[in-house]
Amino acid sequence: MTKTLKVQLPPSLAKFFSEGGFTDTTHFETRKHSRLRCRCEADLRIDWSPPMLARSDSEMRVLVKDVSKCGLGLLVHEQLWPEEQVTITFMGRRAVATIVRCRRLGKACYECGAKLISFESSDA
Amino acid sequence: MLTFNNQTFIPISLFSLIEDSRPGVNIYACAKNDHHPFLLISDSEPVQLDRISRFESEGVYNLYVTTDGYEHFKEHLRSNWERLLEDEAIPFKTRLASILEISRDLVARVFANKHPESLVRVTRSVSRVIASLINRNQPSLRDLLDVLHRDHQLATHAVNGACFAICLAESLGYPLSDLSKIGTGVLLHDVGMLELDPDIVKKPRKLDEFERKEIVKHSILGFKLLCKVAELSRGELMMVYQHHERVDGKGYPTSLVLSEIHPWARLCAVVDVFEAVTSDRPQRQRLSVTSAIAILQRESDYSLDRTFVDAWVRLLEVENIT
Repeated sequence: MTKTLKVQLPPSLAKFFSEGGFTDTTHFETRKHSRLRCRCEADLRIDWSPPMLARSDSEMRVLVKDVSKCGLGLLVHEQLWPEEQVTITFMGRRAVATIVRCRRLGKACYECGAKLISFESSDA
Repeated sequence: MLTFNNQTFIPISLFSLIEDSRPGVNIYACAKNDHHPFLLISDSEPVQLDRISRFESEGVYNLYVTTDGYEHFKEHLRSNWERLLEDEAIPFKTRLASILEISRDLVARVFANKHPESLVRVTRSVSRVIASLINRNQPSLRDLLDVLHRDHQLATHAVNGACFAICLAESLGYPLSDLSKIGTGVLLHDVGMLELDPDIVKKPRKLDEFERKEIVKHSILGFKLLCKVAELSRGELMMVYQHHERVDGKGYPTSLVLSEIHPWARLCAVVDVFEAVTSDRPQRQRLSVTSAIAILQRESDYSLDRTFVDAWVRLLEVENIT
């Protein structure tokens, strides 16, 4: 069953759904691949968490922010931990990924970076 | 550390010397602002504290052993470990200094191999001993500050911070079981630094933008190193991950605000700042306790948890340590 989206977009992301194209890079950009804005809802399932940080609810509705050859940017309503293994299903695709970073943007809005392990059609 | 005539000297605490014991190593002294160590006690002599105290009153600032001698000295302390914990005939300050000396060595050794399970096992047992010693004997902060080292070694920072955190938590009524875990968390809080380029961590000048970004990674690296060790509690791991979070949301790595930060991580942030500014660093000399208090109080207006800052300052002020 699909969960309800609980992410609250902060004012800085008011144009979230209308933005497209590649994201700007900064002087100290260390990413290997450019990121393409891809704005949609997705289902996220947490497959593994650190043992001392176990969750009562492992499924949630999230927003996809951008994608690149090796990673995904997500907006989530609660904090995700580095090293958590997740499966994200969106637009007929299923991505298995590891969370690498998480930053609070506002109340019920955390921006998470995930490193892709696999990315395939959700029918596969 | 001190280098003289191509020999390296390692500082030891005056209070780690046990009266009438024979450490079996040469112990050197060095006058304030001098870099020429001289032999104070030869390896065949017993320790006579009144003689050393006389030197201290004449201006001796630090005691040293050579790097080779340091191994013997630590062995001497380790062989007295149980006696140091239990024997109340030995002055408390001597017992405290010796146990911290051993603790510093154990922590430095386990930091060197970076094995996650060993890191947790060793720091937990060190923390248990320190917490129990502090809990049983209620040392004054003045005694503690007297015996702590002030160098910029990671193990020194960890052990000093753990002592401060345990004292602070105890003053706030935390039970012994929590004191031990809080101590473990502080001993481990900067473990991510071990994963960074040592040239950046020990750089004697101001860090540039790239280097600063590298240093900022240490809390995530520490988390990644330890998060699979099931024996570690949530609070201990949060001290590693969140000790640079600030209550105004301007910290890292997540920019959390007040109540979202684990209370032990907020406590760790206070003692981390205090320890850092009152110890020597590659880029600067240590500050006085008065200056450190001023920094903590200024930061408690926006970035540090005021409850913990106030409690820590109160502890220092009660003993008139400024």
